[in-house]
Parts: sequence; structure tokens; C-alpha cells
Amino acid sequence: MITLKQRGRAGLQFLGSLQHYSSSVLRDQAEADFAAQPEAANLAEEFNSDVGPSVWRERLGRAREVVERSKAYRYNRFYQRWVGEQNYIRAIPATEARRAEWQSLVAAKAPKDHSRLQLDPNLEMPSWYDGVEWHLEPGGWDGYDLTQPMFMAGIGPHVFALGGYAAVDVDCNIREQRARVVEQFRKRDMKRIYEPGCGGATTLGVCRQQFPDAELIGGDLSPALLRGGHFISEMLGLDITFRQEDCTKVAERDNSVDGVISYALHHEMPPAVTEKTLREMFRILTPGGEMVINDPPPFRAVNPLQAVVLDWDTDNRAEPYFSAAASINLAKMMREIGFVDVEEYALEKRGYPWVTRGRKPS
Amino acid sequence: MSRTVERPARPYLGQMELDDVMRMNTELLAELWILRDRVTVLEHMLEEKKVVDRKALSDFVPQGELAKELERERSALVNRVAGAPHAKSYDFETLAKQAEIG
Repeated sequence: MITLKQRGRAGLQFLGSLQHYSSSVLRDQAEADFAAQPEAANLAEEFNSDVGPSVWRERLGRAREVVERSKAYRYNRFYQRWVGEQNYIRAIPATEARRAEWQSLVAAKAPKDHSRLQLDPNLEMPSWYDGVEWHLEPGGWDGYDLTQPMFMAGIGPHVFALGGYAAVDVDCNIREQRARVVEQFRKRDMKRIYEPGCGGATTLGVCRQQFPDAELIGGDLSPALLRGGHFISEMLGLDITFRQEDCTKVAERDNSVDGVISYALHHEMPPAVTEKTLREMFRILTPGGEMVINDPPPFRAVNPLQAVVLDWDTDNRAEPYFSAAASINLAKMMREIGFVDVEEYALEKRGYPWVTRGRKPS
Repeated sequence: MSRTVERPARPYLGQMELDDVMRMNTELLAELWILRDRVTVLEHMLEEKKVVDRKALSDFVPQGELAKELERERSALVNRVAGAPHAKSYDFETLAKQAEIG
């Protein structure tokens, strides 16, 4: 493994510590400040009921006014934004300082078999996706050719591993969370599993551990993320097929996969695209097949302060669809499409991971 | 595809200038940590090579000329930082006297 130089490493470790402080000490104080406000109890009761997006906007506006009375909350948000920017402001130069080493490694370990990486240079990027600087990364997923090492050696271990950003709670173990989500498949005799919006090989890698004999297929729009996933998969012998495709129109045949896993995807697409994706996954699932989704929780499932925090990501951490996604009811959408035995629940505190799962009728 | 991330227009701390000052403060805190990390790593490496003893370094009390040098540097730093909001003008003579200070 290639490590960062001292300046890059220490700078990113500082970001991890600052985010941890902001998400624990300042966040706890903000919770206490909010609870002491006269409107807190009524807001909490109001937030329990499911309503449409326009009512959520109005509710969130009122809750934000109350939440922002807290000085701790205002500083918490300042640090969250600062760390969000600095992740890239520090990690890109730190990764560039090791460019030659990374390129040598990639050349030495380059996969020999490209049959499991199917890129489509003619694929038209959907307008809702193109040009978004996801998570404040300049150029988005495909803006930086060393995105994968930047996360693997920098932002991942030094910042994200401590939690405390977006829906991810502080001090949680994001690796264990992924494994627990895959464990939510009630069906355990899988032959083929598909992941829409797979990014790299992280979730399908966990599927490989839990379903050693299943055929694994991941689809995504980003060629950079697919190349990274393929590189890791081939290096570790995970035997995953990666395909560049739009998850509303995938290449799988009708009734061809037993399981669909969707991890942190739907908050990164408009609700109408989520609905099309769910319909497409329903189409490819075999009768009796199951879909498990993990995404940030809906506003109705968290307290008003957490809802304001989630809503904040939309305008402040380049998550243009976060609020729209948290306003819809995925479980209801799945039932309307035809899924049965639909359930939704949180695996940990503050509502994340938020699991929604359902089966295609046998 | 755009490759530029813009700052949001709305300040987090009630006023854009306050956000600016906090950005400077937090940037300096990051630099301070990077330096402390480096010094700690440096001490560790020097001790491993038996060049310095970290306990002796902690127990060391500067005396004589070294103590005077540190005092001069410390006072200059305090004057520069604490005095920054109060300095109304500067002149060649005052600046020239700082030539010996690191």
C-alpha cells in the first residue's frame, strides 16, 4: 500500500479529528440547545407524520430557524462545510505527490482480463447526473483520474473512517455497516446479484464474502469508478462483472437475478429516476427475488434536528437530490410497483443505515 | 463538466467576514497540527538514531544566550500577533530592527 507524505497525512488526519469534534461535542450541544427550545416538542411530533415534499420544505424551514439559534450548531455546520471542501483541497495535492508511485502500481497490477469490464463510450449521461460536483469533488466522480487512491489512502482512512458526516453517525464502523446491510437479504441461496450504481467494488466485495458462489454484476454511469472497481476486483479475485449503464435501462434479461442490492444510491438521483430504477430492478428480479436498499433515512424517520442536518447537505455538500429523496416514501413506492413483504427500519441510531427491502412475488 | 467548486453565498456564522476569519483560523490550526506532527515524528526519528533523548529534550531548560534568543523571538511573535489590530502605521526604522529576528 502506498502511503501519503507527512504533510498530506497529517493534514487529512486533522480533518478527521475536526469533523469528529464537530460531530460529537458540538453536535451533542446542538441537540441539547434544540431540546431546550419551546417549539422542540411540537416539531418532533409534527416530524413523525409522512407528508409531501412541499410540506417538508415548510416544516424544515421552521425547524431550521429553531435549530440555528444554537451557536454550537452554527459552528458545527461551519466545520462540516470546511472539512467537506478541505477533503479535496488537501487530498488532491497529497495524492499528486505520489502520482508516480500510484502509476507504477497500476501498471504493475493492471488486470490482464478485461472481459469483466464493459464500458460504453456511447452512453449518454443523463442530464440530472452530468456536471454535478458530487460531495464537493471538483469534476465529480470522473473529474480526477486518481480518485480511487485519493479515497483509499487519504480521505477514506483518515476522515471518513471516523464517521460524523451526512447521515453517517460519528464513531460508527462504515465497513461493518455495509456487511450488516448485505445481511438483510432474507434470501440466502443467491445465484446472481446485481447492484445498480455500484461505484467501485465495495458493496459487491461484501456480497462476495456472504455469497461466495453467486455471480456478481455491478452497473454504474461513471467509467472512472467502474475501472477502479474492476482493478480492485481483479486484484483480490472477487470475480465481479462491471458494466457501464444507466440503472433505469440495464442489460439484464427479465427475471434473471435473485438479489438486488442498492447502497447509498437513491439520495443521489431525483425521485422520478429512483422510481424508474425500482421498476427496472423489479423487471430483472426472478419471482421470489429480493431487493435490499440502504440509503439515508427519510425526514419522517428522524428527529427535526437530524432532518435539518440531512437537508443541509443538499445546498452545502453538493448533494442536489438529498432533500427530494428524503421527502419520498421508498417503501410505499416499492409496494406500488408490486414488491411484497416490504419492510423499512434503521440498523443504528440517528436512522442510518436505513434499510428498505422487499420481494418480487413468487 | 465543471471542475470548480464555489463557496455557498450564505454565511454559516451570520456574517461573511466572520466566516472568512474562521476559515483563516481553522487553516492556521491545520498548519499548526501539521507542524506539531512533523516535530513529533522528527523527535522520534532522531531518538531512534540516538541523536536526541526525548526525555532530555522535555527536561531541558534554556539558559544564557539561548534563553535570551527565545525571549526575543517570543516577544516579537506576541507583538506581531497581538499587536496586529492596533498597529496604525509602520516605518523603515521599526521594520529594520526586526532583521535579527527569525
